[in-house]
Amino acid sequence: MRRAFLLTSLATLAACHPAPPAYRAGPLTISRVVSPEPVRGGPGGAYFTITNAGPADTLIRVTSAVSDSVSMHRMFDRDGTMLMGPVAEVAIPAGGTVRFAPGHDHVMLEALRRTLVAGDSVPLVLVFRRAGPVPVWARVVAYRDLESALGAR
Amino acid sequence: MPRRAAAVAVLLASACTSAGGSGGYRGAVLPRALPRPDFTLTATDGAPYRFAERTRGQVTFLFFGYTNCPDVCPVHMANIAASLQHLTHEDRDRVSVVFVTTDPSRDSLPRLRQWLAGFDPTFVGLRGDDSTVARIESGLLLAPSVREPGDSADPGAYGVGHAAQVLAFTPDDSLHVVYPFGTRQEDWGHDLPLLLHGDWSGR
Repeated sequence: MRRAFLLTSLATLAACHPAPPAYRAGPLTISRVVSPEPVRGGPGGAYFTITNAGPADTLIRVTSAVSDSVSMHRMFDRDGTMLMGPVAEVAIPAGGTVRFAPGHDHVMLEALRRTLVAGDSVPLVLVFRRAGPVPVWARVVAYRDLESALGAR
Repeated sequence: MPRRAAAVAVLLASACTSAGGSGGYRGAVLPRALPRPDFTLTATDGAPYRFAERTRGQVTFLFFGYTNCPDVCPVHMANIAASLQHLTHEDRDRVSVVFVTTDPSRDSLPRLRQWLAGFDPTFVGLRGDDSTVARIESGLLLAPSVREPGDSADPGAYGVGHAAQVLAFTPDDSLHVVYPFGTRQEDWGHDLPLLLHGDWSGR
């Protein structure tokens, strides 16, 4: 299973190079899966874009083999103050696109089991209510390269 | 205090509407400048740091944040650090970046130093108690930082709500331009020469 997944990833990488791989699970496509390299002492994270060509689904959980504490957060602006709150699940509307991006939603990886360095890949599993668990690899990039890795605003 | 926060929001909202149209800045130009404040906090070497004196005549980017911050703080710091690398040595020496922690209970001086060095070893880290920092923030018309309970039972796990904009002081020792979250490296690169060499006389 793991080997098949790895081969698929490699095939996707080779086929789409230099574009980063996208992952398909039924009607869902998960692309631009990026993890910023933690700043010394800072937490890890992950961003991705989910495109849904089918009926509404819900992202209910994210897990990772590199972290014992994975959570989803949402940033919001209240009177000029940036606040962050935990999010239990994220709705993926029918035919819609949901972007996890800095300043909006993000996955936070705390209690990291290993050091993440730019160029590494981080395994994540996105668990959807309908589509089930979807394993993906996040590409680790330095914070300074995050805006280009995530593309246009 | 809530009235003050509302006033800040109104000020920033009106500032944002003039973004891009005032003096060619990509940042938001304030309708009314604020003077460079005179406050003293503790620097990461343990010595007192008098902001007005140490940064006088410089372009100074001042930001309030914390090292456990998931993205707003590291993205701002990384984008500024990347943009500064394109300046000449002469211009680079006239820019300082000052980061004030809004989480003094977790951000020890060594931790602050280590985190900032991950972006640029010249970035200054300052720490003071909550009430001192809140006073500085409100003097700059920023809403004070607030502690947000986390989603776990761990009392050490929490977020800190803080102003998301970087304040840019110019060589005339005034704050004219602020940079909201979402400012890209290209925007910093565009505005840096204007901040360094722009003329604010007559304003």
